[in-house]
Amino acid sequence: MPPKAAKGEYIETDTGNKISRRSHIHGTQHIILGGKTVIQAEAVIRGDLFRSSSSSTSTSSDQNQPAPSAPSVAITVGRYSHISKQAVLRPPSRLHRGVHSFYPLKIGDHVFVGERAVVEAATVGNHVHIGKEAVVGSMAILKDFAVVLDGAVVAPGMVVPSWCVVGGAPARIVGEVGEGYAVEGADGGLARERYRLVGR
Amino acid sequence: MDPRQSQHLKPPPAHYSRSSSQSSSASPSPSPSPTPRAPVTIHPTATIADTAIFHGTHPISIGAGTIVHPRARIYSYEGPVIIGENCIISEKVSIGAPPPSPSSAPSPSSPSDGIPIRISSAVTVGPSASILPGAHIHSAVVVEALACIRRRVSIGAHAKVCAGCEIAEQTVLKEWVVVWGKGEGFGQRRRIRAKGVVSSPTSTAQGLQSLEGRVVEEARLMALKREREALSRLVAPVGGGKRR
Repeated sequence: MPPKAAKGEYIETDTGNKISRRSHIHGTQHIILGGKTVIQAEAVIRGDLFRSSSSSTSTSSDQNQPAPSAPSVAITVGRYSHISKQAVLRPPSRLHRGVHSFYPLKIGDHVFVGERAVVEAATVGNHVHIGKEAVVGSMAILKDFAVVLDGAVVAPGMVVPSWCVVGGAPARIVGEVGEGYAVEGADGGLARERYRLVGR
Repeated sequence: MDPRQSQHLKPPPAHYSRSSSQSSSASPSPSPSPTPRAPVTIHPTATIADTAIFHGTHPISIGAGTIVHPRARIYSYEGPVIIGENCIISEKVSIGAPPPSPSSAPSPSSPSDGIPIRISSAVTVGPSASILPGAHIHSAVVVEALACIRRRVSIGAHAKVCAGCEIAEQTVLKEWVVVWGKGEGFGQRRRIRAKGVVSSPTSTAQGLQSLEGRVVEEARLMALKREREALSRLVAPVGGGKRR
């Protein structure tokens, strides 16, 4: 099959998001992209799993509420974040007081999500690197500058501190990122460069 | 390019009427499309996302109350797929083997028999997991994200396959077994889930009575029921079979 994807593989929005035409995004009205975000082919983003605590009243309230501001946000992604091929972003969910509801998934700036990774975290900080085929369990929290190695399985509810490297299944802290990590242009600070190269 | 990707480049199969009509047989029109639509039997109370894919030549049946998330792919080229009641099949799950290559027709060697995939009731399959033909998954099993169940595997009831684990061909997992870990270090490990009284230091510190493992499992299944109820509202678009 000839690589004819060179032209028009990505749609670029006004805020500079580059979104693959072959990405699978559900529930777009519940997703906020901060701009300059890249979403590659076959990435699944589940914006349709939003918080529906007022599900009984939702049918009546939908009509009189303006669309962009009113609906609850399922997924927010910051600037210069990169969602690789076949990754899955899915809001976390839990049973709270007898009601099963979904909670927003917040992803910060300069975040990299590797290929085939599954992210169900509650919060992903800035400059976080999630390796390929990593699994981040439900309601986990990755603080700023955390690194999840390839194939790691971050347990549900785990909190990864800043500057920590976690790996293995189940993931444990295996080290720290060195000084100068995520400095612009250095290791971990290539988000802008990565953004520039996409779709070229 | 691998067959899975080329599968995606094709136009999606025509959407059959969603679960609202009772036990709709999926393919009334004999379309000459290269990807044969499988004869699907869906229970009226099942919730199937619009973008779930059912391809193949053998029948696929889905039981009552089951949720199939978007972008799940169910292939019945090598045998029928039977999914029981009250299961959750997450996004990008691949059940069955994809066709060997898009050009060659699915093997016409044995259209009558073939190796079935049987998934019993209350099974949870996590995102991007894959289940290959011949798998027999008993009730209340959890298969987590990115796990891979190879051919002819049997997984006992209440077992759990943790994220990223690969179950080798022809493995038989007993009931209440947990499989976790991979790679270097300890590698893949197994243990039997505790069924009796579990006394953990945290529960004693909090002054809670330690619970039996069975009770915990029952509670998990209750939570699963709530999850299905929430999902059936979210996955199916409100207001009937209209898409968008």
